[in-house]
Amino acid sequence: MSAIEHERDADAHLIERARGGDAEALTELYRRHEHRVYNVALRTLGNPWDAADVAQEAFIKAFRNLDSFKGESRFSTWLHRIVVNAAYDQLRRQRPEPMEAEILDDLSGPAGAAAVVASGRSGIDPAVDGLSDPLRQALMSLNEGFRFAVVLCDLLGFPYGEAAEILGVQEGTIKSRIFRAREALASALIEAGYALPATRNPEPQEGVTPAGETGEDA
Amino acid sequence: MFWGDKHVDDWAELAVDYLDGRLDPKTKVEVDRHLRDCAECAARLQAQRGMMKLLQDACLDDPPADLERRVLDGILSPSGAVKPPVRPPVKKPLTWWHRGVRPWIPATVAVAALLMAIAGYGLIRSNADLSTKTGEVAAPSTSADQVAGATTARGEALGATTTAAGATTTLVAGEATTTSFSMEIYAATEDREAMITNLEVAQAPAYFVFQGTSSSAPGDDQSSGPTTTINGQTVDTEAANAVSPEQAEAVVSQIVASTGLVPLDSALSFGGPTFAAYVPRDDAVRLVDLLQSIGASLDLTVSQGMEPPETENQLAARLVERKSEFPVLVANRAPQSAVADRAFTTSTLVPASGPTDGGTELVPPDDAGTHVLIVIFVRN
Repeated sequence: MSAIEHERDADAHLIERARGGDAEALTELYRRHEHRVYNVALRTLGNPWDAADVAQEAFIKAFRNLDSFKGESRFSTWLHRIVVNAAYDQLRRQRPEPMEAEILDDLSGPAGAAAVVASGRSGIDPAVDGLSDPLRQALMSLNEGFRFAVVLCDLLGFPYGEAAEILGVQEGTIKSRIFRAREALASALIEAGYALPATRNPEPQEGVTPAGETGEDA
Repeated sequence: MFWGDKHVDDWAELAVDYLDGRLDPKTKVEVDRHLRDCAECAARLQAQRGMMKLLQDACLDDPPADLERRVLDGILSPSGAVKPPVRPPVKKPLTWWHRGVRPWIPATVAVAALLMAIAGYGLIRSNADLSTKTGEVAAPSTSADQVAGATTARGEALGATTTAAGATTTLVAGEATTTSFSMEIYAATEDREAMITNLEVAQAPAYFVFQGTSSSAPGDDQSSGPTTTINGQTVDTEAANAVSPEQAEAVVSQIVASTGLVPLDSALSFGGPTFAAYVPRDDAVRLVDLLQSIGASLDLTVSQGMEPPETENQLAARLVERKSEFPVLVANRAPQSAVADRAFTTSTLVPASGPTDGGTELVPPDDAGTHVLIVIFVRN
C-alpha cells in the first residue's frame, strides 16, 4: 500500500467516524490537515488574520458537509477546494472591513482597502512568519491564479494533478502557471536586491524530489 | 524536434517536467541540446531551480493556537448537524471583540444618526408614512441634533433620524405588545464569532433578538448625550431584559435607516417589531456587526438563535410561508465618503433592489445556498 493510499484510508476511516458524530475523529481529521490548510490560506491571502478566518470557515464548511464528500477524490483535494474557494471569496471582498480597519489603525493609522493588504503585510513580524518579507511581498504581487498554483505546488508540495483538480484547471495550465510564477517571483526578488539560492547544477538532478510527492501532513 | 529553436516560453510545461526530472529520455536529450545552444533559456531554467529551492525550503507557519477551538466550536454550535450544546447567556455584550477591537460604530445615537442620515436619507423620505410620523415630532427632539448637527449639514435627514431615535411615536410596536415568551427556551448565543459562523452556515432562518441588559449602567460615559438621554429615561425604570418603547423605537428606526427594511406587519411579528430579509452569507460579518452596533448604541443585548422562540412556532411557520416577499440585503462595501474622515470606517446593508414597501416581487434566493433568511425582532 503506497503512502498516499494509506493516507486516504486513514482519512476515510476518520470521516466515517466523524459522520457518526465522533468528536475525537473530527479533531484528528482537523489536526491532520490544519497545517496545510492554514498555510494555503496564509500564503494566498498574505496575512494571518484573514488566513485564520478562511481556514476556520473552510474547515467548518467541510466538516458540516462531510456527507457530501463522496470519496471520488482524495479528502485533501476536496477540503482544499473548499479552502481555495473561501480564499478566493476573501480576496474578492478585500474590503475596508471594519475589523481589519481597526487592526490597521493600531498598526499604521487610517487605511482604505488597499492599505488593508499593504500594511497588513508589512505589519507582520518576520520572526513569526516562515517566509522572508521580500518573498512574501513577491508572492502577493502575483496574479491570483499564478499565486494559488505556486503556493499549492512549490510551497506546499501538492502534486500538479491534485492542484489542477483543486483549482479546476488542466494540469498543463498548472505547470505553465508555476513556470511563469517562479519567473515573476525570481525577478521580483532580484529586483529587490536578493540573490536566489545557488543550485550549482545546470544538468537536471537525478535525485530531485518532484514537487508533487512530499505527501500529506505529518 | 517540434519546439526547435523556440525559447522556453513555448515549452514551459515541458520545462517544469524537465526541472522535476520527469521527462522521458528522448525529450530530455532534446531539451539538453537546446539549453547548450541557448544561454537565455539555460539561465532562465537556472533561475527556476533557484526559485524552486527557495520555495520548497520555506518553512510552514503554525496555525494560531485558538484555531482548533474555533473550528470545533463552530461545528458544535447550534445550527450544526452535531448535537449542539446550549450556550449560557452572557450578560453584557462587551466580549464580542475577540481581537481587542472596538465596535466599529461608537456607541452613540448621534453617530448612528449620522449613519442613518447617509444610508437612510432617501429611504426615509421614500416612506411617506414614516416621514410624516417622524416629522411631527422633529422639533422637540434636540439632544442628538447638537452632536449630529455639528458633523453634517443634512439637517432634514437628521431631523428625521434623531427624532426616530428619541420619539415615542410607534411605528408598529403598538400593534404587538402582548405576546411574551421565555428566553430560556430560546437557545441563544451572543458571541459575535459564533453568530457570524452560524449565519454563514445556517440552513434555516436565523433569528436575532434585541433585549435589554440587566445592568442599569448607561453604556458610555463620554460624548454620548443622546444615548444617556434614552438610557436616563428608560434603563433605571425598566425590568431586566425588557426593551422600553423608546429603545424599541430607536432600534426600529436604526434598522430602517441602515438597511432600508420595513417592519413586518403585526400578523408576522414576534412580540415586538420584527424584520425579515435574505442576506448573502458573505455579509454575515456585516450584519452581525451592524446589529451589535445598534445594540451597543442603545445598551441592548443582541442574541441570536437558530430556532424561533418556542411559543412563536406558528408565527414562525407563517413567516416562512411568506418568505418570498422578503428583500435581499447586500452590503455596501465602500466606505461612506461622509464618514471617511472620521475615526472609523463603516458600511451599510441595503436592499439589493432599492427600498421596498410592503409586498415585493423579489424572488427568494435559495436559503440553503448562498443566502440565509434572517429574522430580527425586538423583545418588548
